[in-house]
Amino acid sequence: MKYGFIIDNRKCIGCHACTTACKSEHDVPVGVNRTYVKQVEKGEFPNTRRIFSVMRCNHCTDAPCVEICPVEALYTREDGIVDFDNNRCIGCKSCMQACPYDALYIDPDNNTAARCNYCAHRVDVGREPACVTVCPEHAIIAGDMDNPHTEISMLLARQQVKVRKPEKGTNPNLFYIDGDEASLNPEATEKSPVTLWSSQARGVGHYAKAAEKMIGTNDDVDLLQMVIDNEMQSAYQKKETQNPNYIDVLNGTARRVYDTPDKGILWGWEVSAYVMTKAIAAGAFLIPFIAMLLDYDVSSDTKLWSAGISLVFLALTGLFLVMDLDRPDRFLNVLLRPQWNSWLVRGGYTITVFGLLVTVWAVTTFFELNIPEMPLLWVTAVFAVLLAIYTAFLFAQAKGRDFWQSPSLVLHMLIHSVMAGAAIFIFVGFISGYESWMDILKPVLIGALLINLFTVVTELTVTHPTTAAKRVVKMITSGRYKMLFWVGTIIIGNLLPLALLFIAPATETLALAALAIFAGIYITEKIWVEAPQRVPLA
Amino acid sequence: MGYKKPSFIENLAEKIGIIPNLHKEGYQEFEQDMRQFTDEEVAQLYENFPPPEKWDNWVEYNPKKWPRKEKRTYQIVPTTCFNCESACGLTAFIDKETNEVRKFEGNPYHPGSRGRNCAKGPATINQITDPDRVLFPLKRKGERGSGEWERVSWDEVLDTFAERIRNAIKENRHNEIAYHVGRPGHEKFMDWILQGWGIDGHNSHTNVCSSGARFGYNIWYGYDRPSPDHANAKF
Repeated sequence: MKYGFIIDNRKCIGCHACTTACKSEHDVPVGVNRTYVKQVEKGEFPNTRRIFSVMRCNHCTDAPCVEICPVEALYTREDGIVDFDNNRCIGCKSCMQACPYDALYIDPDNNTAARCNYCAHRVDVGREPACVTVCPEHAIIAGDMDNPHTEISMLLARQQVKVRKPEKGTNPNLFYIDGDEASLNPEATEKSPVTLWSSQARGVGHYAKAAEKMIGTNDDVDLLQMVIDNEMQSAYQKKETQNPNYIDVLNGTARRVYDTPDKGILWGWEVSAYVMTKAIAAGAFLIPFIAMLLDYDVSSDTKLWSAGISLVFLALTGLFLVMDLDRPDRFLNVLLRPQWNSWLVRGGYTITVFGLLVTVWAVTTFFELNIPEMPLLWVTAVFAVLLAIYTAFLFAQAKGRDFWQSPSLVLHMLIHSVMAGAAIFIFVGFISGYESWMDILKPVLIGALLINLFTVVTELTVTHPTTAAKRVVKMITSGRYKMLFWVGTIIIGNLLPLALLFIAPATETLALAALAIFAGIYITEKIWVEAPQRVPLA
Repeated sequence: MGYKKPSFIENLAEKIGIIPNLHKEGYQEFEQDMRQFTDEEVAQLYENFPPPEKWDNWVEYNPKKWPRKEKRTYQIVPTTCFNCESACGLTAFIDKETNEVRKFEGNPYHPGSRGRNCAKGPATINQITDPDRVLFPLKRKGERGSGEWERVSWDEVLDTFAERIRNAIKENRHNEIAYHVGRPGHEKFMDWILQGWGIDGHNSHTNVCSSGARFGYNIWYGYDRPSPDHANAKF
């Protein structure tokens, strides 16, 4: 038994009956949609045509949302339906990053993720999904694709069908007869502008402040201000959606005439902040560990500083992670309802185990207990490295964001860790006095900065395989993030500290260099986390 | 989801009570008696509307509690959509516990719409639950535009209207009477009454929306609705 959908574009007239039937069946709140009709016009009058594409969850066989969900809130049933359970969801929004089709949304009523679930509650009774029941053209066809006698199997056998983004390897089970690339490919058209009621464009979950402001206000003045704000946002967005790499003949002539609002930034400053504090936590352990490996004498004061800083920044990491959740009351679910394929869970356990190991080390150092220290340190070091780089694996699981599927992201995270650790020990040196092992800090920093620059350059120059990733590169180097990137990341984060370390290695300039490094790391993470989220997925 | 066995950690945590237990009974067990159609019909998933003999007690799962399987019993009542002149069939699913309309679906036995609707059909639920819906006669108190209304009885309404209309007719002020309605669903009954009174004051949605087309049809073949020849039409 394998359920799927066919959207028959030979018959669909874009009437939106499916949208409202689904909304009424599931009581979907205003501003979000489980299914909708995207309308794209191509050509110039009188040679013009409107293409309707029904967009929704594709119930993929290898669903990336199921793979990344840390608490198994999204799961695939035996009959192929990808269903969800909002009693488990913690609102981490990683499913929304993983889905290449923009099928999920955060339900503003209970701050959990939701999407089309094939009306599983109707299928279990024997009825078809609400959209299929209402469609006046019988343009949505649902059924069991394993049974050769169903209408869907017969259509699949005889018609030419298309799917969205087959190169992602998700094996979608929603097929379009007579699908057109101008509509199925999100990059063929500019993103739709922000409109009066598209408050979702300001973000989802706890970012949808605009939506919250609009609830219960009939005040004309507020609405007017919102329209003005939206117009400005729209002009800004239009600038960055110029896509130079897609099919030329469609670019400029194909345009969206009806679309749902863009969901905006899902992972905001909390995620950039936690990546930085995690880098510091890992680095604060790794730097003295490297000193010990190089046979330097590391005092127990240093060891306590190392453990202390690690633990404090680990706690901050946990705090930022919980703050990013849309259901922070359920944060324990990451550890207690684990879905082991998700790097969010593996990362959560890495944080926990690393924290425990560092605490053990701190306790044994403080109470001067005699234990075999080096084996403990080696194990902790492994977890420290894992702590630093696990986010790269998490980002790679997010199949919706092509820029994050980069092998150099692992090195990027590790190097940031080394830089952050060395920088923080410069401050420790000021506070608790110089120790001989701190001689390695300067060469480590110089080496790390050079490798960091090299990594950044590689990541932005070696051609990424997809146009979405290329767009992000363009956005970073010459688009809306260019000031932040060139001034923040390159000059303040890398060139300034390098210059200071080479030219004026006095202690005050060392501190300045360390501060600049922290600023650079945060700005880099902010750009790397935010920029890919501005590329439309549907 | 309850039908998958929880992992060891989850099981332990639920038993200790740190996290709510989501694996209690009634979560995801498959219930054969809820399958209302034959296996072939289910496999096809094609137009499996609730059959009329089951309309008095139709049981479905509540989508808002899904994947917890909560059964809701509905009374299905056939009705007509009033959002435009097509008058497609609708069926109202009335929750027997709360006696509220839960949703509208199509009516498979309506010869025109045959179970399907446009986007307005299912959206009719918004009209039912609209907080601004007028549920009883309201009379304006206060200034025009102030939004102040008071509830009055039907008797008072009928008496007031009758008195004022009669006075206007007696004093030959026919032009000061207007009948305003949103969508005329009365099929010429009110036209008959108004003409009997000698009043030319029927104002409705149709006056604005389709008046041009209706006037055209009227002078062309004498009736205000078209009868398209779909079989031989090009578009």
